[in-house]
Amino acid sequence: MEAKLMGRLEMLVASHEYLAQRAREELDRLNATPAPDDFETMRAQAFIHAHVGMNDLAAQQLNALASDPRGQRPEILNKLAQVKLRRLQPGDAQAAHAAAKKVIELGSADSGELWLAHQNIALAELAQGNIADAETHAAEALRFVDDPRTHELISAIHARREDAVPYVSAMEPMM
Amino acid sequence: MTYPCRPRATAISGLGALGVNRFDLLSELQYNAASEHVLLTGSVVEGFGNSLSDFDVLIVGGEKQRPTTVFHLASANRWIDVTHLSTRDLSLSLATLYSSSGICSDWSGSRTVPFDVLEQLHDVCHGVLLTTPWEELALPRERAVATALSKSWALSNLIGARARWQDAVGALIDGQSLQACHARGMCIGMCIDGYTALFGETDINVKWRFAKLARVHARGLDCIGLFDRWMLHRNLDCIGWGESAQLLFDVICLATSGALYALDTDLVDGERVELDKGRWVRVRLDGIAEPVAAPRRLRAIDFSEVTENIV
Repeated sequence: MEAKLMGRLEMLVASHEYLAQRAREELDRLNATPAPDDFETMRAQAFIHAHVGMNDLAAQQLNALASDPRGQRPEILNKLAQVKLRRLQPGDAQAAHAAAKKVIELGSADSGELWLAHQNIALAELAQGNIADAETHAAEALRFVDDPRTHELISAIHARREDAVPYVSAMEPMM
Repeated sequence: MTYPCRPRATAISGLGALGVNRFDLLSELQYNAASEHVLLTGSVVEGFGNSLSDFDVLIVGGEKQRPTTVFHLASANRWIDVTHLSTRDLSLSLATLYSSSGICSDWSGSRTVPFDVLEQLHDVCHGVLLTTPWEELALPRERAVATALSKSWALSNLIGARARWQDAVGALIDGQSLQACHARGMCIGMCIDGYTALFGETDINVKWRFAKLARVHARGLDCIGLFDRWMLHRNLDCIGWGESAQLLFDVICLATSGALYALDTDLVDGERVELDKGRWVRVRLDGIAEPVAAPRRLRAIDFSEVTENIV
């Protein structure tokens, strides 16, 4: 078996395990909140749905959260961009780009969040066939975090593989 | 005299009392959080709704017009009507509103604004904003728009009221007494809508006619005492020619010159006095308008509270 393929599959399985753990943490956090308000309840739903791969529902709920000033922060906008890129319906690449761009404009994102924002913009550009812009943002992402997913993305950009976008977007950090 | 009357909802904070979970509602809608506004509009926001009323949602933004949709929101047990207004159509509606000449003493030749344009702009102006998009899209919710809406909706009703009066007089002359009463009742209804429009009640739906009048009354703005005099448990068709002519006169005076005047002229059934083309005239049953002396000015009316609910 090709080592590169095994590595990719390993990363996807590890991502799935990581997301299951994150979903559990979201549920525990909601349970531990004495009187969650509408925003907090929706936030928990949105992240759990995103973590378990219910991308349509997660995208709708994250979109609702991002309509509120409380939701216009890196964590939510990056997740919104991510689920849009995973499902990649018409208009999703543009919406993901706008959400990720907003993360950068906020000025409050840490290096991990800025890495993810640039990674998502690169993916959105690749999905739209904008190879040069995708390369620029992938390189920018590497400035913040030297992450294997970005290297995977750069390979996809060089191969002009737009179909790699949902695949790369589904990868999460290795535990 | 008491009458159930609620103010318009003006902010998201008021939605909880309506049983609205904003995020539940928003998560059921197809819109772009970055660049589109979502407004709650209609009877519930207007203060006229009840526990059975639909929720009306208006999504503003985007390039393309999208079809109206309806769905049931289980968490609120309400039906939701969703309409869209593209950025381009919003601009066109505003241009239409501003291109109408409004109300002046030469009002009968004025152009009226189409109902759908008035309805859309009213919703944009007075709906409750549910979202804060981060890309710039300013909504026309300033006083100038609300004032233009008031004048335009009042003008539409004045022109309609006068036309129905003519219908009523024609029927009277022809001996069609029931038809005359009916047309005169329609004239009165339009007078009421024009009157309340002058005080900011620009929801064009006539089914809320008396709720709007009750609210003008509750706000202390009912300068001709219409609510107390007529409106409870009265059938408009039963209101006589004299009272009807007085109402038409009062509303025309308020709309054209912002003041009330004394109607001292003796009128036979079907005659009226009005200000048009800059002159005061008595319109006889045969339709001929003969000049009369300017009536005595009683008092000016302050319409500054018209836009009190603009956010």
